[in-house]
Amino acid sequence: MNHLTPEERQEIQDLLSLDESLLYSLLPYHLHDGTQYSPQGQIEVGRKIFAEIKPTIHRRVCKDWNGCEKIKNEQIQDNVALVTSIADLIAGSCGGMPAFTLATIVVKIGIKQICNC
Amino acid sequence: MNSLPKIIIGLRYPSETHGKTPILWAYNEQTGNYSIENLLHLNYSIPEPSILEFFDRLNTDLSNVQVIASIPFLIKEDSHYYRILASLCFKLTCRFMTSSIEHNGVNYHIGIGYGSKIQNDEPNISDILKELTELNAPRNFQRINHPMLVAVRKTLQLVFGYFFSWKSPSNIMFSDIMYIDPGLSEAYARFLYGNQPNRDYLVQALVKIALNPNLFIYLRSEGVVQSSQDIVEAILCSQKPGGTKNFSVYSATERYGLTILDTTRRDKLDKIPIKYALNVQSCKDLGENNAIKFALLHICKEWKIKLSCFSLRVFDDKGVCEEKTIYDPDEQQSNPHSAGVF
Repeated sequence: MNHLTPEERQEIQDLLSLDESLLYSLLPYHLHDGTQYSPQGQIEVGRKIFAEIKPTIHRRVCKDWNGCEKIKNEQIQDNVALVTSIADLIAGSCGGMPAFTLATIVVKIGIKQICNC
Repeated sequence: MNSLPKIIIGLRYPSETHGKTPILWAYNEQTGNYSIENLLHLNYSIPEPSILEFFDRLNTDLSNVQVIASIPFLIKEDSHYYRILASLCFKLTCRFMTSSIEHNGVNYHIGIGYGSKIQNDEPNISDILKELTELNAPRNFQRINHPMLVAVRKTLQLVFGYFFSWKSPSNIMFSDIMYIDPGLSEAYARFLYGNQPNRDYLVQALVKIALNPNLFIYLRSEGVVQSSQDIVEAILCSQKPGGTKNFSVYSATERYGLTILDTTRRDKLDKIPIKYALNVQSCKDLGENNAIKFALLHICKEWKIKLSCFSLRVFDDKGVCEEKTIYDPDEQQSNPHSAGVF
């Protein structure tokens, strides 16, 4: 697990404080396509982005990492550590989307649900 | 739009965090004098004499007064807030209409106050009130997210919207009582003065709202304002050669405008979505739409963007919608205590 800087820890804590729908609203910025949305539209676009990435996340978290077993590990019962671990797994394979945000969405949804544990 | 009121009289609903008694206050815009009456010592059953004494002590002409009331829209008939508001209306020769709602054996009243100058062409709101009486009133009437209160707010919006658009030589708008939910006025005070504004700062926030009808419209409006992505794109677009600096969105009844200034920050645009979302989250108790409005205000403050708003239902003497700034970072910077220090 990577060592977190204070700024990264704060960023993850901020992300964890958000409702799931607001986390989706953070994704469209990273498309950099100049599109503008209503606040609700921005959330919906974020949901679609996540849905497109979800198979990749599923493969990395559930199969490669064996997420169902990992969440039993007491060391990652802390949500910040869990987000960090998942972010490490999916970074670089999610089309330029922010790994911390995606990982936080996974934690909010729940690994049990994502991986059908 | 007619001249601003000389005196602003306010009634603020108590809260757990800011004292459990109602506060009556007055602010003289010209002199900057400020009077406050904490109604703690009053006999709640008969507050009228003390209120009249309060007005006498002001020793001023009450002919040009704006009343702003930070109270819930639903008031129990036997509550002292109802009596105080009724007294205010009596003293200021305002009209005060109520309609009863019964829920679980408890009678609630909806109060709608407006100016006495409206003698003719009064809107027939009886149908609206009748419709409201058929709805169930919640016991916890402070929770603005409750569908009942949303219905009440929307209905009042219609009623007030009617008044706003009603052209008259007299100043209808300023003779109306400005109703604002306590949660909204406290959120605005937090926006101006930080997380735990004291009683005086809460009153200052109400003074600012009373002095700027467009700010009142913004806080009370039901329209959807700019998203975080709108803000990012507005800043990016303003940097392009020949790019516009004004960006607006319209709802059915309001226009919300952003103006990118020379002083607007161009850095850390990637932080705007998360800051916006965090502010929405922190204001979610106000309801989704209000939370978004406050998130926009906070981003405008942090990135130094000018925000304006006007209602498509409010007209000046020439029949034109008047646009007014509701947040100007340059003004805020040059006079950070522009709300006045009491």
